[in-house]
This record gives sequence, structure tokens and C-alpha cells, in this order.
Amino acid sequence: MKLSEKLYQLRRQQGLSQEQAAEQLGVSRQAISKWESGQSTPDPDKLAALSRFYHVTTDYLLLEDAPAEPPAQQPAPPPEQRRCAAVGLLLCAAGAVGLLFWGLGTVLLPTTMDHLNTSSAVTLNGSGILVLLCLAALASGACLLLRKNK
Amino acid sequence: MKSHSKLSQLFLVLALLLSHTMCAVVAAGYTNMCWGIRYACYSAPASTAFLPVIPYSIGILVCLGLALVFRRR
Repeated sequence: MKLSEKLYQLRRQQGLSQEQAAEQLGVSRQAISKWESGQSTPDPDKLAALSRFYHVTTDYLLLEDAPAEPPAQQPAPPPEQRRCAAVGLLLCAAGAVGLLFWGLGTVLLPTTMDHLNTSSAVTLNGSGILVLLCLAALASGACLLLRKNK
Repeated sequence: MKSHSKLSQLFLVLALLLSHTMCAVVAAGYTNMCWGIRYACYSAPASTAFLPVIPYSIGILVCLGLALVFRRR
């Protein structure tokens, strides 16, 4: 398989358009189109970038007698990491949505917010506790999403 | 990856919604404070209506940061 065909196949496997691939690689869409049609070949630095982007070796890209299937893609993240990312995403979304609803409640339902404020048994009123909870959810969600396994 | 691009857009939209909500909350609070100071003998200054800017700014910054991180991945 030629380099141009491999580049096309790899891009389609990842479900990207030429524009999306160009944006992520920092090149023009025309460059991607020319590479995939065989009109031109990428420079060595672009070749290295393509290799990293598609998680294949440069040997696979350059050698015509390389195996038909690309080498094993980057292994999928372990289930625990995916679970952490999902929990982090939920916490972030819950925190942000909570802040949105608190704001909407403050503006549109002031009497309801007054009840919420008087319901608190500590000096920090109900609104303050709700806001703190939303911020804590956002922060912990962000930490889980950005955490990298050692 | 497609999922990272969608996550980036989601957090951008959330940041935008939070910024709009922040403006609405501060505006409503400020007018409420002005009315209260004039007619209900509120003792706090009207500038206390800007306190909700703090949690909303933190939320907006977190959402923008996550949008940037997912855009680069």
C-alpha cells in the first residue's frame, strides 16, 4: 500500500475529515488532500507528526511492504481510568449545571432562594453551601478528568 | 479524537452559559440592593452584589481550562 493510501485509510479509521486532520496537525487542508492523492509527500517533520498523530510507526508509513494492518494502536485506557474520567466529567457537568440553576433561581425565583437560605442551620446560608458544593464538584471533576495514571 | 472535540465544545458552551448567568445574577442582585438601600434600610453597600462573581469566575475558568485541554488532546 502506498503512503497516500495509508494516510487516507488512517484518517478514515479515526473518523476525521481532511479539515479536522489538518487543524490538528497544523497544516492546510490542501496539504492533506495532496498527500492523500499522492500529488506530494510530507516533509520529514510532518511525517513524524503524522506518525505520532495516527499512532503508527514511520516504518509503516514509508515502507510499501509493511503489513497491511497498521501496528497495534495505542491500547485503550484501562477501565478504571475510563471510569475516573466519566465520574470526573459528571462532577464537572453537575457543578456547572448547579451553578447555572442557582443563578436562574436567584434571578427568577427569589422567594424560593430565600427559603433555601433560611433552611441552613449554620452561619453559612443555604445558597452559600450550594455554591460551595457546585464549586467542589467542578474542581474534583476537573482533577479526575485531568489525572494521568502513573 | 471526536469525543475530545465534543467535550471541548461542551465545556465552551458551559463557560458561555455561566458567564451569561453571572451577568444576570449580578445585575439582579445589584438592582435588588439599590432598591433595598433606598427603601428597605439595607446596611450593606450595593457592591456586595458583585460577590457572586467569585464562584462564577472560578467555574468559567475551570470550564475554559478543560475546553482548552480537550481541544489540544
